[in-house]
Amino acid sequence: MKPVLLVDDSPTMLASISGVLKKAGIASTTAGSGEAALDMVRGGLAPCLVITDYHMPGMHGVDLIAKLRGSAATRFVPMLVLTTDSEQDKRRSAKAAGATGWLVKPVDPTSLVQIVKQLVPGV
Amino acid sequence: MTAFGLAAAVAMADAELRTLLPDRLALLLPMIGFGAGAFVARRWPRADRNAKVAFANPAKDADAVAISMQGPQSGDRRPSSSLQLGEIVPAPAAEARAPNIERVLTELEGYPIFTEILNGQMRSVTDLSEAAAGSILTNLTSADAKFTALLDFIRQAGSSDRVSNVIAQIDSQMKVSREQLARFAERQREDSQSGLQQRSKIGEDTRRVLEVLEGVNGIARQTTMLSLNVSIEAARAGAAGKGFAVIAAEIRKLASEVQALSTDVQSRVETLMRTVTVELQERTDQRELEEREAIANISRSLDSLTDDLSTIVSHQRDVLQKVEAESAAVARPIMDIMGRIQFQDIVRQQLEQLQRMTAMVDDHIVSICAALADPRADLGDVSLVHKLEEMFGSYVMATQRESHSKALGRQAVREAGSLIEMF
Repeated sequence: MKPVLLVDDSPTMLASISGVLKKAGIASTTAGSGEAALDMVRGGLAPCLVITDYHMPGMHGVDLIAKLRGSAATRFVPMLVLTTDSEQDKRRSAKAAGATGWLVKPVDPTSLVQIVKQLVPGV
Repeated sequence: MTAFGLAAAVAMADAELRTLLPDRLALLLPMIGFGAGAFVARRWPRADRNAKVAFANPAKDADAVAISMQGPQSGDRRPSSSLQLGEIVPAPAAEARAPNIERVLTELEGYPIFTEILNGQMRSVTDLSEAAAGSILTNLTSADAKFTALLDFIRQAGSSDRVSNVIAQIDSQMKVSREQLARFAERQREDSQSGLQQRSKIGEDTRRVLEVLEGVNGIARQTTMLSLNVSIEAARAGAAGKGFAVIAAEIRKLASEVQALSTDVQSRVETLMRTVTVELQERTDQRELEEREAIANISRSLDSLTDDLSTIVSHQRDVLQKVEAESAAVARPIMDIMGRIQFQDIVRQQLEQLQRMTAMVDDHIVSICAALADPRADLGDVSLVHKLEEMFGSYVMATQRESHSKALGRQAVREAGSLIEMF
């Protein structure tokens, strides 16, 4: 089964979300920045879902989504923004870039698992 | 003014952090608040803090201004609630304030040290919360891994497949044992039947032997009678018959011995026949009875084993169901705790925002110092109102905007988007 790609500059966030997914039996792989995530996809990683933070040093989450939408491996992969930011303008920019949804931290673990299973049936 | 600006920033930061930090980390907040509060109290007496901070503006000479933060202004008798943030109110004459300007300037120039201390404290809280969250996650993951391994072991040990295999093996062995028992019982029955037939044949043969012996006895008796008749005839013949009389006597004697021997053989054969047909039959019957009882006992034992096995399997199934239920019950809170660790990232971002805010305060102070030091300096946008709006614009979280609005006595604007929004 393809893994969920988690992108966040916070190691704690990555450990938290990957731990939640693992408890639900969902495999995941992590990247500490947007650039690292792009490198992983260019290196052959084919995730079933991307969950990215918005505010990260360097490339931010919506830029990453826009670039991933341009990659054949991730063109049709659902992508979520998981961020503390709740601004409408940023949500709209994320939607325009091809994001599938916007989740405001802290997201309830059960809800997160539910969303992942809805977006990727059989995961 | 700057002291109030900083105090307002600290108050907003305190309110925001208390909504996010766990109790243990929240204990650090009074330290930060106390540091800021103590600094403000030391630099600005209460009457001034609650009233106003005024700055001379030589450019406007007697129209020196003060910018209201909160509370009544000297020279203005209105209650604090009627004053607006940034409102310009009359201040005392410039001559009365001039001697304090140099001192105020010196104090304000020392502010970066204070903000550096404050930032250091906030970085410390960030590091502490990050280390604590990391440690919680590591320990939780380790405990969860061990618990999961234990559950997997229990599942594997008692899995339906494994139990089914054991049952199938035992059942197969029992089936073999039952078949062996059945074959043994059948062989016993056949042996018994064969023994009966053999004993019957022996009885028949023995009866024939007895009939033959009876015939021999009859011949002996007839021979005796014949020899008696010969003896009588020999006596009649006189001297000529003496030889025949001797022969007749020998024949009679021989016939008598034959009869005696025949009777003896007959007796022995009858004894043998009784032994074979009666006593042996009784022993065989007894042995067969014991064997049937032994087979019945073994069969009952096998049935009992089957029942015990069913009980064990049932118990094992109950244990497995219990383990699965407990596993699901434990997984939920573990997953929840893992998810709740997100608080650390939120706290980190809040503290980083506070650091940006203290940098704004620093910039503001530098601008004020420049204005104080050089009466001709262009104040530009040195306005607390402007700085506060700038701060408001830099927030990303709804809670930041809410606490900011609350501190300024504004009505918080309800955020339009939901926490989870699918496009």
